[in-house]
Amino acid sequence: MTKERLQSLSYKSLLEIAERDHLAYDEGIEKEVLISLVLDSLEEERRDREKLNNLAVRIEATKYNVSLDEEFDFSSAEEINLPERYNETKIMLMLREPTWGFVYWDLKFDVMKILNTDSDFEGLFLRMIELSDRIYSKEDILDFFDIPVNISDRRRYIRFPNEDTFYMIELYSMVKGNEKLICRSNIIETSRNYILPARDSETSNGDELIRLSGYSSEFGAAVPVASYIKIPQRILPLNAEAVEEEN
Amino acid sequence: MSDRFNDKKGLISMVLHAHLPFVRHPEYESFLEESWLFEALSETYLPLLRVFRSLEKDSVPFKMVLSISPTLASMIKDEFLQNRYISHLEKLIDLSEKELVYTKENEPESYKLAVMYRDLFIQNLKDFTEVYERNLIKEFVHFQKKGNLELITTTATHAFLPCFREYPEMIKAQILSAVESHDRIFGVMPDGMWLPECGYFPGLEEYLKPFGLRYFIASSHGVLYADERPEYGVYGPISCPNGVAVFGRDKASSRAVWSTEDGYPGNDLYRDFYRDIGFDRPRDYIDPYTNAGNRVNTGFKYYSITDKSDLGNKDFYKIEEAEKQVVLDAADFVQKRIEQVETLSSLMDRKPIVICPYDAELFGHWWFEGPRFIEEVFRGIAKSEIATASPIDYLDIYPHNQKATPAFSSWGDKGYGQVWIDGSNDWIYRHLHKLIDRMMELVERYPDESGLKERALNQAAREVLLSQASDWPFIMKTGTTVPYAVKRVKTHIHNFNFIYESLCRNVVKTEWLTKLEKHNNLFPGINYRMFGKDYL
Repeated sequence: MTKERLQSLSYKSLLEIAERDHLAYDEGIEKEVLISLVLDSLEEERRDREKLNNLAVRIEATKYNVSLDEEFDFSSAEEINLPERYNETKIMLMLREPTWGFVYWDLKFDVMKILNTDSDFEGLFLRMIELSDRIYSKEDILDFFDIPVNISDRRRYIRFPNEDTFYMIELYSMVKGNEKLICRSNIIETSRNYILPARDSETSNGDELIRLSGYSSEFGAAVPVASYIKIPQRILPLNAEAVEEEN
Repeated sequence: MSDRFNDKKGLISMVLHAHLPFVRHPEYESFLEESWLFEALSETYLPLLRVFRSLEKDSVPFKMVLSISPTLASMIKDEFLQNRYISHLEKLIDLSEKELVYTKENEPESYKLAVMYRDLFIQNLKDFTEVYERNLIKEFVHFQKKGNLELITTTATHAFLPCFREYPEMIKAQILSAVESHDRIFGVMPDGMWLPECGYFPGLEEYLKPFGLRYFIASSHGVLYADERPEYGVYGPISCPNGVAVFGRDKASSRAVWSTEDGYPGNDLYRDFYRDIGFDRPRDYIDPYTNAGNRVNTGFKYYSITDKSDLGNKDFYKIEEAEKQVVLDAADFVQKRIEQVETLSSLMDRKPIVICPYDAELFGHWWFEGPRFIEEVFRGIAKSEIATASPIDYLDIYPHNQKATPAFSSWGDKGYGQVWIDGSNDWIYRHLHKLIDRMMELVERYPDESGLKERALNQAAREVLLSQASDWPFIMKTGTTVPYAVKRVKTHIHNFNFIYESLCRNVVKTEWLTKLEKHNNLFPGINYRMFGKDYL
């Protein structure tokens, strides 16, 4: 963002940006002071974003980089309003990474109305269920835990306790101390985050080839190999450091 | 087994993925985001074609895999965008004449560079209009026919497939539209599929095989964390249970280009991407070349990287020094690959293959000297004991590979779906999934429509596909041109819902539909029935 770009905006637009970004300012603030405030905030925001993204992402982002000036959208008249709800009872579980998932849900209007008007309604909760198979049956439940949610909540990120297993989420209401199942999500399989051990029949060079596949410092790749040497079957979970290497 | 690489110790597969989302706005006199295409044409695609011609002229053997997304191919072929590109170049040539005068009087250090840019833009215009007669596709096909390029495809609108794994009909529709589009535009069915962002989940291969797709490329950890330990690491493919081959990305060669610390493009001598005269020149001087008075990148960049933290503290770019450096860097890259292959071949009972995939636009657009790097790499490899080859070449030599299924993975930040499922963009999935449900519902309700209703249903299918581009959540996460990305997703959702509701009321507005068809005009052969459960 350039100061020049902000100077070209009206005082009203600058106030709008300040409001949008929750900036604290005194009433009657001078335009130049307001510009400095907004500029500092945008710069801080940009630096934070850069810290969050690795180089590959930052470079890919340059494909869409046409200006140093941030685009502002003041066109509220043209705003497209999407449906807030689709009048359906549904819960969807998405795998984000081996240990985290994203879940969103919704309730039909009449279900919401019943819950909102029922004096015995105590709340909603999510039940995260670990399964031994990709098809649900009560016999396949390995473990579960509950997460209370507000009636206005409609999405959440959830940590999976285990990798390489199956999970499903159920949405329940609690009415007068009784659990009532509202809906059940799809089943997902969480991913492995490690290399499986070698089979006896495999080539004796297998370990070396795995190491050279990216976990060595030869040929320009400088990923620490310590964790591989210590724990051969469970190497380098993709933490922040390894991630930079990956890209 | 025939091995035409008999005298070679190992193979290097350079894979470039060229993609831009569909951006076409005839409703505006000029549109800022259309310059994504224009910049990529000027800085990446035309320079790459020049590299291929230069290698061809000198009879240098080379082989590269080039994935061109269906949205990009559609835009390259689009007459309206071609005209706009020509106007864009003419404007830049006009600016370059002005720059010659300005730099001579005010900034003599940049004069030589201003001449270089003028010559480059003139050459781009000449190549585009006279040499290729606006038909870049024909030139790519020429190199494919000669055996230098293997052209592959990616999903129709570059959807990040792991976010849609619960919607098999949608995945099928994305792949079918891509393969059909590739065949129509390039005149040949693709053998390989670039999975957008290398986004893979177990079972995805089942959607690829029916379309004759024989391989895809996965992130290195996707292959290494497979359900069987890969015996050759990432230096030989694994074969999914259904026979589709998976080639793993090599981390060492990736790092050589991507790394902030020791990656080649970070060298101080190379041209800086960020500092541009669009922001340096006086307002009244630059205004005729900006967009609606907003300062934008013009492509005239006179500085070298030098100080990475301060745009104001950079040295002038020196073409000759950068040229010397790019030759050195390419030689270093080739030497490291030779050493790598030497080591690997001593450990393997077959030739190793090193897979080097990159975003095409990295070369030229971001890394100005990138196309020259590629040229020098091919020239270096041609003189060595290694050879460039495509995954298909490798499968011809070694058709039988270890059976294993890769793990869920991507090449994005942190290795999985963190970029595309994030607090900044996760709101879209509720809507995108609903659109698929509704599209499937429409196919059930209208299985065999014709005339206006069929046109409306086909346009609805286009809007569903366009809403799923991975670019929009990516932009929302990275923070560049976010309002445009949000508007695009919302617009496609809105367009679809409008058609859906019109069909429910049995009232389709012909004029509105025709306008939308002309606006979002890609996939002319689309068939809405592909969203049906039993289609194909």
